[in-house]
This record gives sequence, C-alpha cells and structure tokens, in this order.
Amino acid sequence: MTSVAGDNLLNQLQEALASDPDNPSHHFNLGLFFWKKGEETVGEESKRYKEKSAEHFVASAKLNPSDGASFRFLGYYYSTTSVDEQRAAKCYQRAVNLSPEDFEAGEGLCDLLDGSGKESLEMAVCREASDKSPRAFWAFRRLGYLQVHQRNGWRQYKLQHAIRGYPACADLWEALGLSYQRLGMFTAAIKSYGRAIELEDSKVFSLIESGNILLMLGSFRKGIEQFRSALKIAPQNASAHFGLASGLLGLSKECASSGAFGWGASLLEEASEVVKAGTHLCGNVYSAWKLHGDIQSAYAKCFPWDDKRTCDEINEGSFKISINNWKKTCLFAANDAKRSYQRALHLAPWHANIYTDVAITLDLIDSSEEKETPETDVWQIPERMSMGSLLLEGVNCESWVILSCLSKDPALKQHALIRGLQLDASLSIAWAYLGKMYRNLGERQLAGQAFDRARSIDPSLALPWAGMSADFHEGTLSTSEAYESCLRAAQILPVAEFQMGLGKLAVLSGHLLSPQVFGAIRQAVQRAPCCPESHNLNGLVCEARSDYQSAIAAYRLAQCALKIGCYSKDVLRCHQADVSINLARALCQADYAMDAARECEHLEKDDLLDSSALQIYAVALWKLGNRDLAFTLAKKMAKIVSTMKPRCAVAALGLVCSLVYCISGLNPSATFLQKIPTEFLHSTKMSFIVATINALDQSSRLEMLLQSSLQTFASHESVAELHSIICMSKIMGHGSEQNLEIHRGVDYLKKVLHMYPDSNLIRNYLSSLLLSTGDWMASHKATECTVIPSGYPVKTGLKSPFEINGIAGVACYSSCVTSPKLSFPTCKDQLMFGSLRVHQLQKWLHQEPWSGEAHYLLLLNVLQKAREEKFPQNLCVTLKRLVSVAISRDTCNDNDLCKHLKFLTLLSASELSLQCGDYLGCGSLADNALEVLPPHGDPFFAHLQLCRAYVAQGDMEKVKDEYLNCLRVKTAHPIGWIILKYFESKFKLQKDSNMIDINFRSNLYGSQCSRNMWTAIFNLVSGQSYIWDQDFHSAEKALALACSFRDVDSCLLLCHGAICMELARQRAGSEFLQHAVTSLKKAQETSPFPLPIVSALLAQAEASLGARAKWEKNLRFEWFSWPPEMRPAELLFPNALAFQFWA
Amino acid sequence: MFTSDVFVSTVCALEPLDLSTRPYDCVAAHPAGALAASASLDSFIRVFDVESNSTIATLEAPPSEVWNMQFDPKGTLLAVAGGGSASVKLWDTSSWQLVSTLAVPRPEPTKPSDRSASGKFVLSVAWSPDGKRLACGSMDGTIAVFDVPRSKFLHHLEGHYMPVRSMVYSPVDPRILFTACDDTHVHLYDAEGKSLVGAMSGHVSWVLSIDASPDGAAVATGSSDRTVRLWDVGMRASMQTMTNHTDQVWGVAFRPPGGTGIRAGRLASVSDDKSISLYDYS
Repeated sequence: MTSVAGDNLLNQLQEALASDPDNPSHHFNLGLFFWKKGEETVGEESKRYKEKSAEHFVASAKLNPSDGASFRFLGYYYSTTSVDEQRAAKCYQRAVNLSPEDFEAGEGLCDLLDGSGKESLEMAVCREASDKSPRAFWAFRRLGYLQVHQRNGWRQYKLQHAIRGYPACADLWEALGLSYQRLGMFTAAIKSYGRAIELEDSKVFSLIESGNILLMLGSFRKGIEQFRSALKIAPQNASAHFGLASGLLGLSKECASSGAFGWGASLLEEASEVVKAGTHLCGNVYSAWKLHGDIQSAYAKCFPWDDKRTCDEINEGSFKISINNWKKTCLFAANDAKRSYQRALHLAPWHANIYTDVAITLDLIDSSEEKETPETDVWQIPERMSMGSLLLEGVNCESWVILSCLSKDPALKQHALIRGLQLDASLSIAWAYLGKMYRNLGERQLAGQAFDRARSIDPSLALPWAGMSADFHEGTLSTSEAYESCLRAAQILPVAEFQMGLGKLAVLSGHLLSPQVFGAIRQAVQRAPCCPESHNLNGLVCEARSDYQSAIAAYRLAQCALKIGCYSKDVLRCHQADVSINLARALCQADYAMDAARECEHLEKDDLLDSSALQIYAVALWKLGNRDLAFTLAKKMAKIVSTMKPRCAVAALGLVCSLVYCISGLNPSATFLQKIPTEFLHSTKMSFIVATINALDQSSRLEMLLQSSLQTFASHESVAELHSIICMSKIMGHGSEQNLEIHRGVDYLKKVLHMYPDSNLIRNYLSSLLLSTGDWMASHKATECTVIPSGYPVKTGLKSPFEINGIAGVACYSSCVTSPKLSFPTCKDQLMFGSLRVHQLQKWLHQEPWSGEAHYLLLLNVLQKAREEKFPQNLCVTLKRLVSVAISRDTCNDNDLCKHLKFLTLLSASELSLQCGDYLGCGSLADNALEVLPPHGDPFFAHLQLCRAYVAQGDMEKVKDEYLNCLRVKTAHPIGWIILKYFESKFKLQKDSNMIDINFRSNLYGSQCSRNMWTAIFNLVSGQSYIWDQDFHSAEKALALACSFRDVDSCLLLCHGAICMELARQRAGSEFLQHAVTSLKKAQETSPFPLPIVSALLAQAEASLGARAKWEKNLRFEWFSWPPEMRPAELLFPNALAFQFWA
Repeated sequence: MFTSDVFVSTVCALEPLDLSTRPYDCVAAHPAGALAASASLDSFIRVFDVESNSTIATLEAPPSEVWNMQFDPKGTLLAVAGGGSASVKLWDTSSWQLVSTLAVPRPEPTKPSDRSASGKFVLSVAWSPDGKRLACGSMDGTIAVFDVPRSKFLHHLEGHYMPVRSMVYSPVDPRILFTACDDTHVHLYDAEGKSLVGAMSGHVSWVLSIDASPDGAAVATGSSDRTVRLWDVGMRASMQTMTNHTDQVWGVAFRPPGGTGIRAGRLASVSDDKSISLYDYS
C-alpha cells in the first residue's frame, strides 16, 4: 500500500467512524487497517499500530459481542504484542465458540494451550469445536495428532475427516499412516504413507515406516527402495540404515532359500556395510549389533564356493587352496557374527534370544573348524549359552529344541526335546528333531512315527520329508516316492545334505535328467565343496546330460576332495574306486580312451577292477585299437557273468557280444549268442543285438532265438523297434549291397502294421521304404501311411514324418496344380495333400530352424509349386531367398550326402536362373554344381542342365558337346534319358542312334507299374519326335504302345486320340477313327477331373461315325469340362462348330 | 489367479499365412506401442507403424539369421537373434543402422562327433528390464548373458539340454530370468549369479513361449502340448492350465504394465489353430 493511498484509506475509515461511531464494523475495519500497518512495520511503530488496532477491536467486540473475528485479532494481539496468554486464550476461546470453523483462532488457541502444557484442555477445545461443526477441520486435525501422539490409534477417523479439509497436507497423511500402522491395517498405512511421500518427497518418517511395514509383509524389494530413498534424504538416519540392512538380510534369505547363494551373499555384503555405518551413528543399540550378527551369521551359511578352473587346471593343490579360502571367508564371517552377538549381549543381557544366537554361532564356528570335541562330562560353551537363554526364558519351547540340537549328549538331547514338547505338544520342529535323534539311535520305527507326526503338524517343514525319504530301503517307500519326498525337502530348505540325498535318490529312481536335481546338485557343490559326494553326483548329473567335459571335471574334483578329506582307509578305498570308475566312464564317452584306459589301469593295480570297470576298460582298449587285450577282457567278463546281478549281466553280455562282433566278426558273435542262456536273451537290449546279428547273418542261425524273444516282449514300442530291425534283415537278406530287396521289407512291414496299426515307428519305416521303392504311387501311399506329429517326435525310424511328407511332395510325378489357368490336375491324391505340404514343411522349419533338411525340402517343394504354376514372380523371389539361404548354410559336413545336397541345391538355383531369363547364370551355377559333386555322384543332370542353358543361349555347338557328355556319363534315372531323347529329337542332335533307347531300357527299375509308366512316357517322347518329322503313322504306333499299359495317364490317351484323329483327317483309314474313340473314351473315364479337348475330339469322332446323340452329349461334356472363365467361344455354337468339323 | 468367469474368445481367425510368399517368423512390439517389427523367412525385417501399417524401415539380415527379436525397454535398440552365426545383432531404432554384434562364444571342440561343437543356433533373445543385460538362448540349451553397455559376453547359464525357445526377464528384478525349453521345463535363473534357482515342470511337450506378469509373481507359458499354463513363481507350481487351443501354442503375452482397470490383468495366447485367446485374471 503506498503512503498516499494508505492515508486516503485512513481518512475515509476515520470519517466513516466519525459519522457513525456506534457501528462495530467501522471500528473493526479501522482496527484491521492499523493491524495491517503494524504487520508492515517493525519495532515500536509496529507495536503502536497494533495497540491502536486493539483499541478498535475491543470497541468492535463490545458493540457486537457475536463477532468472532474481533476476538480472534484480540487473541493475536494478546498472544504476540502484549504478551498476556490468559487474555489471549480467552479471546481465542470466545472466537472459537462464536465460530468453530475459524481455524486461525482454533490453531492459535491450541498452540497457546500446547505451549503451556495443557494437553487435556486443548483436546477438550478441539472436541467441542469438532462436535459443534463437522467443518471444523482444524479441530479434527489437532485431535487426530493428539490422539496419535497419545497412541489412541483407533480414533483414526478424526484424521480421515480432517483430510477432507486438508487433502494436500502431508503431515496429516503421515499421521493417518501411523494411525493405521498402529491398528495393524498395513496396506492402508502404506497407502497413506505413500500419499504423504507423493505430496512431500522429503518425508523421511513416512519412507522409513512404510519400509518397515513392507519388510514385515515380506516385500523386501519395495522396502529396500523406501529405505534407500530415505537414506538419500537423510544419510545420517540410523533407522534408515538398520531398515535397509534388515531389508537386504530378508531378501538375501529369500535368495538363499531358493538356492541363489551368490546373490544372497552379495546382498549380505552390502547389508553388512550398511549396518556397520549405522552402528557408527549409534553404537549402543543392542538390536543393531544383533542385526549385524544375524547378517554375518547368514553370510557364513550362504557364501558359495565358486570354482572357475577348467578341467585341465584341476589339481589337488589348487583345490585345497580354493577350499581353504572359502572356509576362511565363512569362518571369518561366523567369528564376526559371534563378536557382534557378544556386544549385543553386553548391551542387553536380559534378552534370552541373544544367548541362543551366540550358542548357534559358536556351534557353527566349531563345525567349520572341524574341531573334535573332547568326550568329557564338562558342558561345551554352546550348550552353556543355550542354558543361559533357558534360565531367562524357561518356557520358551524353541529354546529347548535349540538346546537339544547343540547338545552332544543323547540323554540331554532327548530331555530337551521332550521338555519342549511338554510345553507345546504341537511343536513340529521338536517332533522332527526327535525323529532325527531316534534315527541316529537306530530306532527306525520311532523315528518314522516322530517324522510322521511332525509332517502332519507342519507340512512345510523340510526335515520330516527328508527323514522319511532316508528310510526308503526299509521297504516302506519306493525309490520314486522317496525321491519325491526328498525333492520336497530340498525345495523347502536347500541344504547340501538334503540335496545330496536327492541326488542319490535320483540316481536310483532314474531322475538324473530332472532340472530340480541339476539345480540342487549344483547348489550342493557350492555349499559342500569339500564333500566328494557332491562332486561325484554333479558328475553323474552332467554325464546324464551328455556334458562329459563337465562330468570329467566334477569327478576330478571329487578325487581331489577325497584326497584332502579325513576318511578311514577302507572308506577312502571304496569311494576312490567309485569315483575312478565314473571318471573312466566319462572319459571313455568323451572319446578320451587313452585317459580312460589309464584310469582303469590304476584301478587294476589297486585290485578295484569290478565288472563295470572291466566293461569300460574293454571299450577303452578297443577304441585305442588294442583288440587283443580288449578281447581277453571280454572273455574274462563272459566268465564272471554268472556272478553278476541280472541287470548288470545283461549289460555285460551285450557289450561282450558287441566287442566279439567288432573284433572277431559275424560268425563268432552268432556262435556266442547261441551259447548264452535264454533267460538273458529276453531283455530288450539283447533282443536287439540278436535281431541285428541275425539280420547280418545270411544263414539265419538265430531265427529261433529271435522268434522266442518276440513272444516274450510286453512293450509295443520295443516290439515295433524289433520288427523294424527284422524288416532290415528281410531287405538285406538276399540282396547284394547295390540291390536291396526293398519290396520284401515293405511286405513284411505291411503285415506288422496290421498287428500294430498305432505304431508310428512302423508307419514311418514303411513310408520311408515305400519312398525308396521308386513305385509310381509310392509318394501317395507314404503320405497316407505316415502320421505328422504335433510336438514331440518320439522315435521316428529312418526318416521323420516331416521328411517323408516333404519327400513325397517332390517324389510325386503328377501335376497337382489347382489353378486351371495353368494346367489340369491329373492325380486326385496329390491334389488333396499338395496344398498342405508346403505349410507343414514351414511348420517344421519353424519348429527346427536349424534343420538343413527342412530348408532343403521346403526349397524343393516350393520349386515344384513354382514349376507347376509356370514360375510366377512372387514364387521366384521367395525361391531366390530360399536358395541363397540353402547355399549359405555352412553347417554342412564334408560327407558325400551333404555334397550331393549342395549339388542338387545348385541345380535348383540354376533352374531358377533359367526360368528367370538369366541364361549365363544358369550355366555357371550348373558348372558350380559339377564342381561340388562327390566322386561317385551322378553328373548327368548337371550336363543336361548345361544343355538346356546352351539351348537358351542358342549355342548349338556347346549343346552338342553337353549332349555327348550326357551320353558318356550316363544315369540310372529313366527320366534323364527321356529328357535327353526329347532334346535329341527336338534339336536333331544325333540321327540314327539308338543309344538312348538301349540305356533307357537297361535302367528301368522298380515295380511293374512304374516300369510301364516310364516306358509309356518314353514312347510319348518318341511319338513327339515322329510328329516333328511329320511321320504320323510311326507316331501313332509309338503312342498306341504307350497307351497299351494298365493305369496309363489320361493325357497319353488324349495324345493318342488326337494323333488318330489327325490320321483320320488325312484319310489314312477309317480304323483310326475307331482307335481315337477308344482312346478318348478311356481318357474321359480315367481322368480324375474332366480334361478339356477330350470330349470335343470325341464328339468330332462320334460325329464322323454318324452318332449324333453321342456328338451332342460330348459337346455338352466339353462345355462343362472348361472352367467358366476360360470356355472357348467356339463351344457356344455347336452347330457352327460341327459344320466346321464336317467341312 | 484366473477368475471363474474367464472368458476365452477367439478374437479373430487369422488369415491363413501364405508362407510361400511371405513366410512368417516373428514379431516384436516397440515399448511405446506405435511401432512393430516383423521378420520372415526371407530374412527381411520390416518395421512398420501399427496404426497405418506403413513401412518405416526394411532391414536386411543375412539369410536364415532372424528367429527372434526384441526391442530394448527404452525402445532405442532392436536386438535380432537367430541363426548359425550364433550372434545377436543390435539395430539403432532412430537411424535403423546396425550398431553392434554380440557373438555367443562357441564351446571348445571336444570331440569330432560332438554336435554342439559344430556351432550354436540361436533361437531366442530377452532384454533385462533395466536394458543393461541381454540373454540369448541357443539350440543346445545354453543361454548366453551379455553386458550391453560394454558389448561384452558375461557367462553361460546351464541347465537346459534342448533348444531354448523363449525367455523373459522378471519385470521387477533384472537378475531373474525365466526360460522356456523343449525339455518341457521352465527354469528360473539368477542371471547374474549364473545359478538355476528354480525349475517348474508340468508341460508334456516343448515349451514354446513364456511371459512374466507385470508384478513378476506369475509366468504364463504356451506349449506344443496345446495348453497354456499359468505358474506361481513363489510356489514354483502350475496354478491353472487352459486347454482351449487345439494346436500348439506359439505365443503368450501379458498386457504390459502401465494400464489400469480390468485390462491390466489380461493374457493373450496365439496358436497354430489360427486363433488368439484372451484371458482375464485377477
């Protein structure tokens, strides 16, 4: 306010008062003016103004005693300017009475009362105001604060009400949070604290308290975040330090309970630092030292052993150093924990639980140091400390259980547990330890009962589950049940003892591949690295996963652990033998035969070579090429077979037989098998060996043995596998290596399939063989026979169902094009499966993107599709990518099959170039194909492709060269000769030569059906050749021959019909008309779909023969055999057409 | 857990994928939601606007090198994994240029017959929620973990022994990695401490896809046994099995965090039966 304006206002106010001195509002306004002036000025001047204003407020209050505002200002005046608290309080009181919602007066009054310590009066004022008006939010807020302060948390509704008036007051939200927290409404408390933090991010109290609640609720991660935020704002806040450390401890326990020891340890390291910083701030808080003790003790129990050495670097010395370092770290942490607990105990010796903590830590240190406790009557320190706790809290049943755990004396153990159970009969942990104690005493029945009781009281306790599983060999549990029980124990509490027990049970029950066992054993190695059993089990788990390198490393570590451990001589010898046998086996499987043999030699020297080691030794020697010694060992094994357990005996016999076959050949192995007692031959493994040897043996000496094996089998899967081996024997039985009798195998499997129609293995075998027959219809039969799996392909035989599907797609000779614009389908079956095939191949490729076969077959099938559709552009683009992928795959090995696949891929690429107009590229790709061809490959088609490339380039000289090359290299595939014949005729490459005819006829193979079909096609090409020479009579003869076979393709019949019609047109003889009618009628009947032109020609022929009705009928047929959009205009005018024909 | 009134609806029958012309392989959505990338067997990655379907960029990868891809949580990088080159390629999403290639170290050849020695085939990739780590799953079951800011390989995670098809980090903890594998198991790894901390079994065939719920307390898996399973991470157990699909389930996805209301708890699954199913859960 400027001084001029202020003076004007003062004059106006004074004039107004002078004009009406009894008006209270004039007094109030003038008072307010002076009050403001007083606020604006300082010192004596301010005081003078305020005194003046007080005079006017008094006057105003006198004239209008119901005006609260005057009293409020008087309250201000008395409380601040002329310090008279009593008068101030009275004035404020009057103001609040007149207007309970006046928060300024209310707050002023409360502050006065608060300052003079009149809390109950303050509360009464607030209560009165809040009762008078629900909008007196200040009163509710004060009341809320007071109640929170007085711990009357159940009145939190006052705060809730106040928040309606002050929704943005962070303090209020914080108080509400505290109130909820005291009531145990933790979620509501977290929300309230959260709101307070949102409104004011420096609310340390809210952060810490919400962190504490989150820790209590087990949300350690969120709790830790809150404490970290609190520490950022207040780095010296001890509560935040301890809260953060507690949170980290909680999270680390969570990690350790799931086996993430490394993670847990890193959290504990941080926690330890944080709590140490906290103890520097306030060193006399016992709970801080106890927390530090807890953290260090947890670290000692959680710190993992981590060995990064590779297999070659493992030796006893380095292993010992590594173990000692690990032990030192654990022991250091345990000692640190002990010191912290002791300090806590000094600060608060009345806390019984700290005695227990010290006792447990001392026990941990003793066990880490592996001290041999002297057998004296004197009580050990852990026991004494535990007793100290019981002296303070004799009714704490858990302390009794701890005493029993720490005590070495069985009587005291039992007494303590029974005392604990007397205090609480449903104390599951006491029952569990009682069970453990009885078990150690050999009282298995009592132990079982105690474990059972503990488990029924608390199923989430690990010890009873583990205890129950340990008794599996008593006959009460099967190994699988024991495994399940132990698995539960190891999952609840991942301690190394349970995990190693789980590993042993997994070996017995065949669960070594289970990921739970893998995880458990890896964790056991981290926590019990000095225990050879953990490394040995780790080796077994790795071996089961075919990870032989890791297995070898693990067994080597087990050997080191055995050497540095303290064991009696016999136990050591026994363990060393086990580990060495395992190591030898792993070495042998990893192709380190030399090392395996050396390991076995050591065993032999120590006289520890048992039957299983003998087997490994024999295999290792055989792999090393030491056949004589291997054979001697095999004989030795055969001699001791009768002393072995049946399962081991079968394995040994199988190995001996295999060795005999590999070393001495077929006859001795067959003779050996004949000598084996029949009870051993009925196992699956031996039956397979018998079947295989029988398949190789021409004289079928083992036929009887095989038949008896077949009858004893129960499993369909094994029988199917055995039949597939027998099928192989049928194929090989009488054929030579070059000429296998596949049809015999097909016949055999067809019979077997009748017995086992649901066997996918037999179906796959049959389909694979069908595809190998070269039969004209084989691809359809194979497709129908095989079942495409969704998901797990189990045993698939020679080829997987996906492969069969893909091969059948390209092996079909028919066209299956669906678009009538391009061609007409000639095969019903192919049309059904054709569209699905590419999708199924893509599905396969998506499932197994690494599969070269999938890619290759997809490429071929898409090429087939492109060929049928006359190479449309979109398919060509896709094909180009597929081809480039197939060529760039460098995973291909250097074997002949891979080279051949590459050869065919390059030929496909060449064909694609040809179709896209890149003739030079076509030629160079075909040349590349020739380069990659394996030594015994068939180069015919590459030369043929070159021939086509040169034709496209118009270089007839080179065409002739390649033609001669084709003739020179020859092929076994009839289609090759047919195409060459076509070329020869079309380009007049060689006249009067029947070389192609001779080669073609000598190459015909397969069933009668396919032989006829090939011959028919060859005749078609010959016919075509005659047509080019205008020799229609010879052409008719060739085609007549082509049509003379059974099941001939309708297209051939159409050709024959057409040529006959042409001859008839040339008036060569009326009999041709009759021939035409016969062929065309047959074509009409055999074609799966109406074939255009057939009916038109037939109509013409019938008309020529004078059959008008047939003429009309066939014309109608013709009309409908065309797709609607392609019907020729001529057909619209049959009469005109007929006239044209007659003419 | 799923409410009793779970609705399973076939949202749309997908067009039969004409794979001969544009063979489908994988798609990845940008965290901002406006962009997506799709890859096909022809090895082209097409980045497109989700609303308008207009192509933003076309990235050409070497043949047969794209089987899985994922945008990083900030959306600045696109990780493309796959193929016999055993590497993950990182593309910058502002310039669409290749910025880095993280190669998975091949194990030392042990013996000639060892298949794994001939090379790894990378199948899956996952970003940690803080964008600092990248995990990459291979055909032989090993998982490689990379430090992205330093472009450095850290270590392998072991435990699977068949192809690892899908992986996801816990949205609440960058240390926890969930993996789905053909060995029918779902693993829970401490990816920093390279330890297997949990395994969940229940599927009877390959586990093809996995996703973690926004709160990290549950994971969903799709399998070639045609089921979708919901797992409780704390209990390490399957809570519910959905059997509405009639063919193998190739993808599952929770609605990303950030939503409110009923849509916050929604899970989608996509199957070879050409349908997408949506589930509400609470």
